[in-house]
Amino acid sequence: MSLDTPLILRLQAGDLDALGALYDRYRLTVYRTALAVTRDPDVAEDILQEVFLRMNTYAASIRADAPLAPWLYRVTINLTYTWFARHKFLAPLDEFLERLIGPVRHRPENAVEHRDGREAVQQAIDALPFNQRIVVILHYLNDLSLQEIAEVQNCPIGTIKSRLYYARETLRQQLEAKSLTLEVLYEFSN
Amino acid sequence: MSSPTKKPALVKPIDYTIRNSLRNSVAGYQPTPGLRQRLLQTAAKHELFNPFPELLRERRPLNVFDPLDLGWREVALAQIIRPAGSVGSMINYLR
Repeated sequence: MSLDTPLILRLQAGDLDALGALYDRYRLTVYRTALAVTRDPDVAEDILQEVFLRMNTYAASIRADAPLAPWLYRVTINLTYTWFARHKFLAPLDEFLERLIGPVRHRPENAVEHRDGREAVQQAIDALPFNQRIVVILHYLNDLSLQEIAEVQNCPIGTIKSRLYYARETLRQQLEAKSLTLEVLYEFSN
Repeated sequence: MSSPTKKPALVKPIDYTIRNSLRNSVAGYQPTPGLRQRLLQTAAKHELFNPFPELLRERRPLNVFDPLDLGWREVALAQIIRPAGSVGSMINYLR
C-alpha cells in the first residue's frame, strides 16, 4: 500500500476530486520532466494535461497498491517520445519560418548568449540521442536510481547503465571541445 | 521513488554540472494556474460522453486465461498488437 492508494481507489470509483488531488501532488514532477525533454513550456503543459487525462481514462488498469510515480514517468516519457518523433520532422520547417518572420533574437549576430556555460551544457544534453537524454533527465533531474529508471523504461539495468555512461562521456567530450572546463562550469553552476 | 544506493560515493564535477544545469533550466517554470480547472473540466466531459464508463472500469479475469489473471481489455489489447493468434499475442504480452 502506497501513499497514493486511497486517491487511486477513489479515482477508480470515478471521483474527479481524486484526480485533482493527484494533479496537485505530481504536477511539478511531470511538468518539469516534460519541460526538460521538450524545452517548450507550452508542449510541457500539453503533455501534463494529457498524462492526467490518461490517468483518468485508464484508472482501472493502474495498480492501486503500487507507487504512482513510475506509471507517471512512463506515460510522460512515452508522450514526450511521440512529440520528439513528430518534432524531428517539423522542427527544420519551424526554425526556417521563425528565422524568416521571427524576432531579432534568431539572427546570427545575436548568438553571443549561447556562449553562456549553462546554455552550452543544456545544448549538449539536448543533442544527446533520445534514450540517453531520458536517462540523464530521470537520473539527474528526478533523482531516480538506475534500478528505478530500468523499471520505468522496462529494460535491463545494464542497458540503463550503458546509456548513462555513454551520455556522460558524450557530454564530457562536447564540453571539453567547447573549451569549457568542468571546474569552471562547476563554480558557475553553484 | 527513492533509493539509498542511487548516489555514488564520489560525485564527480561532471555530475554536479549536469545536475545543476538541468535543475536550473526548469527551476522557475510552473504550469499555468488555470490548467487544473481545464483538466478537470475535460475529464468531466470525457466521462459525460463515454457510453461505457462502468464497462471500462470493471476488470474481471477471463475464464480462458484464469491462471494469468487477465481481463478482457488486456486480451483485446494483445490481440490488437499481435493479430497472429491468441497464443502468440499472449506470449508477446507476457514478454
